[in-house]
Amino acid sequence: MSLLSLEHVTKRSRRGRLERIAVRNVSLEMEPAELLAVWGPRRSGRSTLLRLAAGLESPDEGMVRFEGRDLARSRNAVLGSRLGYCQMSFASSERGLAVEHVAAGLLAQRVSPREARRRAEEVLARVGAEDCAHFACHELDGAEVARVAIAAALITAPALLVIDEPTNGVDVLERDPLLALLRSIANEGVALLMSAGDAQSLGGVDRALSIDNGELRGPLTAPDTRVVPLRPVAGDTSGMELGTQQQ
Amino acid sequence: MLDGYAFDEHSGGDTRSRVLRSQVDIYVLGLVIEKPSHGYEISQRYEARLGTFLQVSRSRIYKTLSRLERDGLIEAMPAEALSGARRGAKAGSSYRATPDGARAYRGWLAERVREDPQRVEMLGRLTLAGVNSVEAALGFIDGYEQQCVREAQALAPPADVGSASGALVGLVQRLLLEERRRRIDAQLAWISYARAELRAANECSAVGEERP
Repeated sequence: MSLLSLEHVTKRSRRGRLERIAVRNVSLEMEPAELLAVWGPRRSGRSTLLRLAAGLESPDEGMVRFEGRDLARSRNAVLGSRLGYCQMSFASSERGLAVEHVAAGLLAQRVSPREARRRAEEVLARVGAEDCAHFACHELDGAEVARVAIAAALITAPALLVIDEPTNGVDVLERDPLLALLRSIANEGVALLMSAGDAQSLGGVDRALSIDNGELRGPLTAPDTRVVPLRPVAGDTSGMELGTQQQ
Repeated sequence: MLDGYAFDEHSGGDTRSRVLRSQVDIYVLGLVIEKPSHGYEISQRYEARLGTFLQVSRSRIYKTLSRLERDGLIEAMPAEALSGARRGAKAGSSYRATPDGARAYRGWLAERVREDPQRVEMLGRLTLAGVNSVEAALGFIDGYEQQCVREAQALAPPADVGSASGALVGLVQRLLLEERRRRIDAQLAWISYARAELRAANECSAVGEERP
């Protein structure tokens, strides 16, 4: 069973009387611990595809399954826990501290504020953003925003992380370290589905696809998984201890 | 699919040797696609265009034409399809490409197009010669895009990207990597542009056909 599967998914967008097909009969399978990037120009359907994969939008035709279940039915149970969608920007009104933003996912799961904050600091350190913890979100630069956003999505120990253009707004010299971070997260067992607007973001991914006019091209089923996902250590739901790699 | 000329768009480079048996086969087929002609004219055009690059005798051109015809990649044109001058010439059969021949040639063009920019130019010539449809050109573009994406995927950043900032060697390696990435970005941008133009042309021609 694939971690994520899209089965003949079509999504239309409407503006007034005009209708456009944003995603056109797309089928795709994704395995655990896979790092998959979808390249496409603007208005190619790449962001819509990711929102469908994350359950933020429902397909007009076809079905999205996550861990074997229809995502349209299970989204409330899995989104923000087993399935993370990484928003790579903060609202301009976001005045809270980065550590509070990261902890929010656990607070929603009724984890105590003290424990949520402790784990937020832990996950911020994991993504190399420990120095950002006590800055307000609006004070962060592009790369810091990206790392804090990844931390916020990781804190609930998702099996799949969906990220729309992780390097968007990130200084060119900061992009490779950020992409190396994503690679390391996948190596620890978290599957990552991300969109890419440039060649740089495709470097070193397990699978690279392209999308244009809503049509997905490239290998749509996963090759043999390079890394076997590992279960979190018993009793620890932080998701930070994902064990060792297996060939 | 033709034995010996089968082209698989999704396979690797080892298929290329099976697509067309020699460079001469490819060039002769290309000349026939560019302009349906009889053997003598093809040999003249071959000599003018490619003679300094890859010399072959006229008899080999004729043998190549026979083989391409036997394999169904080209065919002798029926007499009624020929112009008066050509029909009267004593130069033997005039040949034109079959759909299988055009497909095999497109396949060869699409393979490794990134390593040979002249193939993109050949796409233009081929289309101008009226052999290909817009759909065929879009198919070629799709193959080109997949090659770009695969190459970008292979360009992984160095593992010590975070620590090598002070070392000149590491810096030069990163600059070279960036040069290749930006070249691919430019090719991908061209692909998006070309697709948009081709689709617009296709839509215009479809609208034109609908008009009484």
